[in-house]
Amino acid sequence: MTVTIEVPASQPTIRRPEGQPGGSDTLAETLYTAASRYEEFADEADQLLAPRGFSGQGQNAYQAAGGKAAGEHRAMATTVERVARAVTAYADTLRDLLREWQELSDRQDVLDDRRTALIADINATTDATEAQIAALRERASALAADYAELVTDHDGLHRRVRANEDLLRQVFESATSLDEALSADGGVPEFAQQAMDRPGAPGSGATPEETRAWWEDLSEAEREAVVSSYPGLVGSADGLPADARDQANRVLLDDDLATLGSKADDGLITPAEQKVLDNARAAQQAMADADSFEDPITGERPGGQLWLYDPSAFDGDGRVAVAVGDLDTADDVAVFTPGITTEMSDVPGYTDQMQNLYESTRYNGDGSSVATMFWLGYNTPEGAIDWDTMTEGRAADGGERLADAVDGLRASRPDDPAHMTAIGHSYGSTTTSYAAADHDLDVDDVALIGSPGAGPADHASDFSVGQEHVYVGRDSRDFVAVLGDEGWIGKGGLGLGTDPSSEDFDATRFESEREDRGSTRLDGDAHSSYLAHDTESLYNLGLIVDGHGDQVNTASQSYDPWYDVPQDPEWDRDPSSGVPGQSQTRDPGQP
Amino acid sequence: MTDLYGVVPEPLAFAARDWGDLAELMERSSSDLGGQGVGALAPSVQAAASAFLTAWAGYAGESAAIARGFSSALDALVADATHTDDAIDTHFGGIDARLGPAR
Repeated sequence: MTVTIEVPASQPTIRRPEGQPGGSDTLAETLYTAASRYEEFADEADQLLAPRGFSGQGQNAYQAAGGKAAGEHRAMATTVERVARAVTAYADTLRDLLREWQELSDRQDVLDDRRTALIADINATTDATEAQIAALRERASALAADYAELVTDHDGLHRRVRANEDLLRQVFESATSLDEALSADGGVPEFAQQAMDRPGAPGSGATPEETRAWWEDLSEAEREAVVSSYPGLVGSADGLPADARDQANRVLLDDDLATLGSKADDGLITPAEQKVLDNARAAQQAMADADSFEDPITGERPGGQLWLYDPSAFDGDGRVAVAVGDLDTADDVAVFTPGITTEMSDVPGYTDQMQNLYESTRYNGDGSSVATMFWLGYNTPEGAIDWDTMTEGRAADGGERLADAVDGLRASRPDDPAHMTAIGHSYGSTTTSYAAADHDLDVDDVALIGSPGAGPADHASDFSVGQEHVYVGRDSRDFVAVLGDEGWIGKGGLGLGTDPSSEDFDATRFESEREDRGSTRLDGDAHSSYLAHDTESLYNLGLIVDGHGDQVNTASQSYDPWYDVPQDPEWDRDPSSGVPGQSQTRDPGQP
Repeated sequence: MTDLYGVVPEPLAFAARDWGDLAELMERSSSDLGGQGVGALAPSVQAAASAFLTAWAGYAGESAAIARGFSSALDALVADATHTDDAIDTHFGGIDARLGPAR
């Protein structure tokens, strides 16, 4: 008897998206350079408009001509910069599409191998039983379903390819004529403008939830268009997926690197612009580090995300947030707030520390996925002896900003909330305390490390997360972490509120001593070592970020007896380093 | 150089030089844009990209010409003022303003 088993044909014919990302980047650089030259023209024209040296009718004519030239060239700088950003976004998207194409190709190879094996098995089968025939049919049926899924995914890929190409074509077309080049909307496709006119768009004063809903209503093509045309608004819009913010901020970063780099090459960069360029280069280094980081368990790269990029903020100190891992999907998300003197130029070092935190959380974790973010979204005081430090004004303002940032993260994942931990270090712990005590910080756990005081909170129960979710790490040799008030006398305004490691505050204190600690508080670097590998502090922070704060190795709280100076029971305990269950935070084989 | 009846040549000469530098930068941009290939883009985008680059190479060329115009006008102003100053010097220098036998 002849039995027919229909083996599906191999499909689809997988087409590679056309275009080269590297060459597109080169085109973008040429356009950024042109943008910087137009800007230089406008700047110089402005400067030259009032030359000392002559007056009268001649100067009036000169000023009229120069003024017109300055205005027109500034408009053209904006337009060509928009086009350059669109080319950058096109190249970034094309990279993603090519990765996806490669994955589809690999999937098809696997399906083709299954198909070949199925045909061989069919051909080798003689006198098949009913069960064997059923099994072969089932394999054929499953293969057909998998091919059909591949066809659907391939169609989706090429829909996005077309959208990416259409967008860039429209950007070019909207900036080609002189009228368009000089217009305020030059280089912005009409459908991107229309998308931004809808309720909930970034920059409209909408809530993070409204902005999220606006994003959900956009088509794929509209999303690409607004990222490319309005990266400044999209990159800082609370409520949007982190991936969208990341894409937009990377466009801005590439723009600054190319435009200001070109100005520097031409010898026409100003000191303020040079500071922005330095900040951009620091962010570039941080992103390269975050992107190349490998998960200690899987060996895969979770990738970095540039969640906030504002290099000229706060008189050039800059605002930035860099995540290691995927903020849109991670089960556990940590947001780390730094302390005084931290500026955007410090972002590479802090990104390394975020990698340590990620590593510790995963290494000792329960298998959940992780993202750790360095957040510098507030204006840190310039130094310890500083009016801004002593008045806590920056911490209060920063606390509100931090709470807003967390609200934005929450709104971006309404149906898949992450377990979130806010970690504040040094003055950043005071900032975090303001967020948790005064602004209803919407995290699950709070950890304060090296804290000079908990700002407005007198007791752990003042925090939005509840007393049982407040954790404190204090190295007994940390000279900053002993400044907070303890006991009924306090320390005369030396610190920034109640010492959160104290009995009075009554949070869960965890072990945070360094094995190589000094004999006094002036020895060593205890204040800056809480996130160093194979320390007690990083071990316990990893557990908290992983959602297992109840498993930290607790330490006795400090106290201030009426008859003596403040006491720290941790002073005499022997600390450990790299000990499993206490301070091992990574594979011992790692350097 | 001293003031020329209200015209101070140094800042004007510097301004002329800066405009000349700008003209060179814009000429370079014109050349860069005109020579930029579009082969790295998808074929469906290439025509629009080429039209854009051709147009903008032209705009940059016009900008270079504008900058050259400012530079030349300022150079001419300095030259005219210097020439006029010399002529005035000659005119006044030729006057014998003395009275009596000394004249």
